[in-house]
Amino acid sequence: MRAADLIIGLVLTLLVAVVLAGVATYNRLVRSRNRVREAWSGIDVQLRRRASLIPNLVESVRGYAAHERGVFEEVARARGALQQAGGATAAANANNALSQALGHLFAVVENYPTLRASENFTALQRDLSDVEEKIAFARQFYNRNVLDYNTRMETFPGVLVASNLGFSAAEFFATGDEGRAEVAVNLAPAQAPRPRPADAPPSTPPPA
Amino acid sequence: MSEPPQPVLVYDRVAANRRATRRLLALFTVLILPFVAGLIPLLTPVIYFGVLQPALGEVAFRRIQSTVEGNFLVFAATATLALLVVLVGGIAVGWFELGQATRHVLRFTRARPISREDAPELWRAVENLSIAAGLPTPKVYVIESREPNAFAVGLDPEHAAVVVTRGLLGLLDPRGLYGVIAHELSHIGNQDSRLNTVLAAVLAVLQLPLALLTRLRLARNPLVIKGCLFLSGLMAVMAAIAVLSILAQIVVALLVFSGEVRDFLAGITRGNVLGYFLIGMMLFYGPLVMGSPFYVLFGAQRCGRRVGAAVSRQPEFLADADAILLTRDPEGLALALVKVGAASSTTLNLPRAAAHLFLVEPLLPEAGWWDRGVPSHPPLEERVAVLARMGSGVSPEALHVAQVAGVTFRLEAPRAGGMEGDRSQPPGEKPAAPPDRIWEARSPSEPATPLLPSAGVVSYIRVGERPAVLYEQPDSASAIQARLATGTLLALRGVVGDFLWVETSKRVAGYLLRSTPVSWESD
Repeated sequence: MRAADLIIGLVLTLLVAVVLAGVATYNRLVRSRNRVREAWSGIDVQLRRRASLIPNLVESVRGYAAHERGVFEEVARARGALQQAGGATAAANANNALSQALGHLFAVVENYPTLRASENFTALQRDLSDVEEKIAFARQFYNRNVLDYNTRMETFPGVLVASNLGFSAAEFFATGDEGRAEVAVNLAPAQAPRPRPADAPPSTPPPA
Repeated sequence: MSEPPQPVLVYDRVAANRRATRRLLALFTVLILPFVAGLIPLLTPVIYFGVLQPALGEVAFRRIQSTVEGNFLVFAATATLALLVVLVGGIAVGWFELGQATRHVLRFTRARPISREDAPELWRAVENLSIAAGLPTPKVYVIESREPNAFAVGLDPEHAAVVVTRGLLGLLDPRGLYGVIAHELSHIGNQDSRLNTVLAAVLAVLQLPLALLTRLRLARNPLVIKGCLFLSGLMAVMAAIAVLSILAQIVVALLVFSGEVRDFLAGITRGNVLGYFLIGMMLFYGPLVMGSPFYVLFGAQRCGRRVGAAVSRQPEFLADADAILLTRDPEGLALALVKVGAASSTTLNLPRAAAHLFLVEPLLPEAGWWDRGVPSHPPLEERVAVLARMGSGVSPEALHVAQVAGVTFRLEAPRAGGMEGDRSQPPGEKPAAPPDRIWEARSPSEPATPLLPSAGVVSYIRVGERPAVLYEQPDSASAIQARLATGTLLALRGVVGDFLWVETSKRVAGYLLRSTPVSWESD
């Protein structure tokens, strides 16, 4: 066998190995991205459930405090924005805005003890806090997947493939400051209506 | 817990535990092999006389046997057939058991599906945490027992179930419940529940020969069963003696008759190899044939349980670590474990094949010295210590409060008329034997120090229906300080492992077995 043959053989083997490694890296990236998408659908379902609870809630409050038009409008606007929002960051912002608007709504409710005690309202409130809790848990799963995907994309073999084949970093589903106090701390659910553990002890910060 | 707290990265633990699990699983496979090997010589005579002889006919059989080659052929055919029968039978039984494993486990633990309305808090915890873990929501089952514990079963996440006892729901607050459910969901996510369910099925199969013998309608007569057991034990002893004597003969032959051995070996190379091979096989198989009944009836299930316990120990740490990944609340799980540990007694009615499944090792009264040697779970103290290092630590006061809550829960348990899953204990019958599990002392010289030496008196208890023994150390082998009559008032100072740390009215401090019947004195 001549030396030239040997060299050609070696080069060919190397080439095949590189191509195979590239394919494997690409597949891993795609799998990771699909996991992020699936995790996002987990959040999306809960966000939709939250949005669908709002009209009933607003109606039950309107029966007692029809004059608080500004608050109702704010809630309706925030709900619309949440339904329109595309992408994790936008959805997170819209969700936080909705939380804020609901905060104003519940402040109004504080003035109507009969409403607060009514069975219909407490049931709605319980459902709402259940959904909020589920959003928090779905967010945790989503962010873990995003972390995994982004790391894979930014570290060595992935970075070569990702930049050339149009992979882009996924967005984290962040919470506002108010949401963080509710979510990132102690995930033990309190009884509904639950107290906001704003002064809960700091635990290990999430890696996100 | 005196060592300085070192933070442990959750991810490191996950990787390390995965490796350990793989290693132990390989060991398990190796230990199961003698069971199969032991079955083969058991089947050999059946096939030899029951299948080959009638199939070939008396005359042909004798003609074949008249030559050495023919003899060898018959022997080889017998062995091959036996091997085939064992393999096919094993695979069939294994397949059947595997398909039914989840249902079996749920049935023999008396778990029952529960509706959302019956346990809304539990349902919510399961739903939320499975969202966080990215798992399909498992089914939720409850065991009607006051013994607080939990486990997960299922061969894959799609068909998994989380099982908790009624006692757990009563004992834990939502925070603890979230920790425990996260732990169980992590078992499902890591496919530990698959491993554990398969393990339960394998152990059930290994117990099958003995169970068949004791439950078979033909062998209902206890004398027959005892005779069989005695015979198998006798044969095992004879097999051991045979092996020893063969070894001794070889040694003697090599030392004393070295010339003859040389001639013998030379004869093999010259003469009939098959003949010598046959003699060798008989020497090897003789003891195996004699010893195998014993191994199949007793040895295999014991070895299996032991290895199973070892296999299931590592994933507990892993599941604890993964649970923290879900809840971010190491303290919640640690306190829940302490509570459950302090509240355990021996009332849960379980077959031993299921012990490794649970959150916290269930105390089984009938566990013999063999099973106590290797607990299926790491010591609770160790798990709590690791959890404490993952977070910002667990304060001794919180631990103390949790222990007291657990002990209070156990003492408040209604003695009469337990729940359905509990071991029934009719009045007048001898209560279950105390779990005199020996306290895991770090070293013999170092005395086992109580977790909370500075704690004051927690509450007061009274010795129950039978006299109790006060030990000097939290160890049933330690010196006995006093024997306490029924109704003696004691000050409860804390809990150390399986012992209650108490003080008598004469200022004598000591340790009571936790299973001692005592009543709660509501000062």
